[in-house]
Amino acid sequence: MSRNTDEYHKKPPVPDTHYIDNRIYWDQDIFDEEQEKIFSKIWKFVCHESELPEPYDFRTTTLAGTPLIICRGTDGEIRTFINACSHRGLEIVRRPRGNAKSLECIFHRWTYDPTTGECTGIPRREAFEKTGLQMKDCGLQEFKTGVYLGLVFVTLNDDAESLEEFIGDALEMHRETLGTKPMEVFDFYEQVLPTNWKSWQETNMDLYHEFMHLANRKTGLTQNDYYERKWHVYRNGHAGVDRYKARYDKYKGWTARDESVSLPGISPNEFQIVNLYPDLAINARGTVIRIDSQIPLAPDKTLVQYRGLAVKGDTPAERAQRVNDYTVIWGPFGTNLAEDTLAVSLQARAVHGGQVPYTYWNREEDGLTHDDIGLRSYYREWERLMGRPASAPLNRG
Amino acid sequence: MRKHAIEELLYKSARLIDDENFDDFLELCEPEFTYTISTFSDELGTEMVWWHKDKEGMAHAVSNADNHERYTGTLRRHVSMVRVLGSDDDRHDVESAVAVYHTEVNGVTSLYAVGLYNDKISVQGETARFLKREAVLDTRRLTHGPHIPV
Repeated sequence: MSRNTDEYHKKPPVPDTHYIDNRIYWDQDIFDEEQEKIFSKIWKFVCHESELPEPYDFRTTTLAGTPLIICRGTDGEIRTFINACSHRGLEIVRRPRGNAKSLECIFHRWTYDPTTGECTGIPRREAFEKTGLQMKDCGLQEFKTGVYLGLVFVTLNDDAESLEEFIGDALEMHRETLGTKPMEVFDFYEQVLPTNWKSWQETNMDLYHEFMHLANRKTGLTQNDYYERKWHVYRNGHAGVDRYKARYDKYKGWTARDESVSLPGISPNEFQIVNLYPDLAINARGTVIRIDSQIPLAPDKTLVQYRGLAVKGDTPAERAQRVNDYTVIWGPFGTNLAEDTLAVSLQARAVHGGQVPYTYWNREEDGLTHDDIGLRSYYREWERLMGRPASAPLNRG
Repeated sequence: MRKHAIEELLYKSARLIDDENFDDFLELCEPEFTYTISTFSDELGTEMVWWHKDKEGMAHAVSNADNHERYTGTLRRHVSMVRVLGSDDDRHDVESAVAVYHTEVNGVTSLYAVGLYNDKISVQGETARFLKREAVLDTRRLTHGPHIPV
């Protein structure tokens, strides 16, 4: 039976913890507050350590609108600084990666050491010193940086808990896979999706959505062990789910994955997912790992970055196999990524603006595969950080 | 005659892929044909491969495409700037520029991707056939995944 307007918009008949008000996706005030209370406060994945193999190697990114340069020092440590000149605020480095012993602002040629953030040169600086500004006072702002199992995290919050405390036990199920052999990023793809950042993370946590994917219907949803996986909910909103063995040979044109290119701690046909709050998803499909992270740009615009991770030192044949295993599902021309991006785009079209009032995270299946327990935990963390109930973020009703 | 046969192959194949008529496209390919899509990552400083199929693998992938949830609208490939870079008997290395446009079902057109086709093409008499194609993309941020090659 269809519903009239009142029926359609009335409070859902499930516990408040089991649904969210869709204004959470498109309200500008909520988005702005998320930048302040979430992305400016917590640890955020920024890159893999393999992207900075040598001293003076750098990567650039942004976090809560703050331009960052992440650089490996001569002591091997990775540090992060604001990528903006202390003088007039210009973005200093305009490339996504590189190697530089000195950073120079194009505007007035101020220079900085990218490994320490120290200001190393100010042309005709005597005029600044005359009024009390010394070069030693002009260093770049440094942000806390940590590396955990090769994953590089940054926080803008000087008072943030340690990275180890933030992650807790959430990456234990990936520890052997990520931490046994040196790994490297072999693929980097990013897309601006016309949707809210939370929607992408939800898609990585909502395994019920796998009915959408032809590949998953063929290789996973037909297997009994697919449904028997247990969700593990951790503090700080992280969650992961046990692995299962995908039957890749069930999809036309695919074969079972090759033992010779398995990753440590996981067999080549196993699939395992861990999600770290707020935006990081680590998907391991036996031979390769996909790391998703996000840069929210606007309530309805999100830069999603996908990294393919493999064992460093592969032979060309091994690497070619991993690249194939990765791209056939997760590449821009693969089977699944295109479907996920289509789904979140279609969701945003109807939801952003208030036409559809609620999203339901009320599936309960004893904490197994299609249970929404991970998503409910995700939103409890959102509520803790935001100080708003996800079911009534603007005090609806 | 050789250049004409190559250009005809490029233009005909572009239309066939536009129409997603891969059976006829693969008829234009020799048995050893491979299709690769690659791009250079400024973020990693390395080449990335996003699609690599032999003729059989390509046939499987494209035959599955319509069983997936896909974007709406159509892609249109514009091939131009055709140059024969080198020849070895009847095998020719051919470079062409490709621009792919996406037209939504509401008629709005946007540029989807640009890049180069680096093809190896055999020409015998008036017949040209693909031995290999590598699509090298300049565009690295795509609006959507197509489930088929560019």
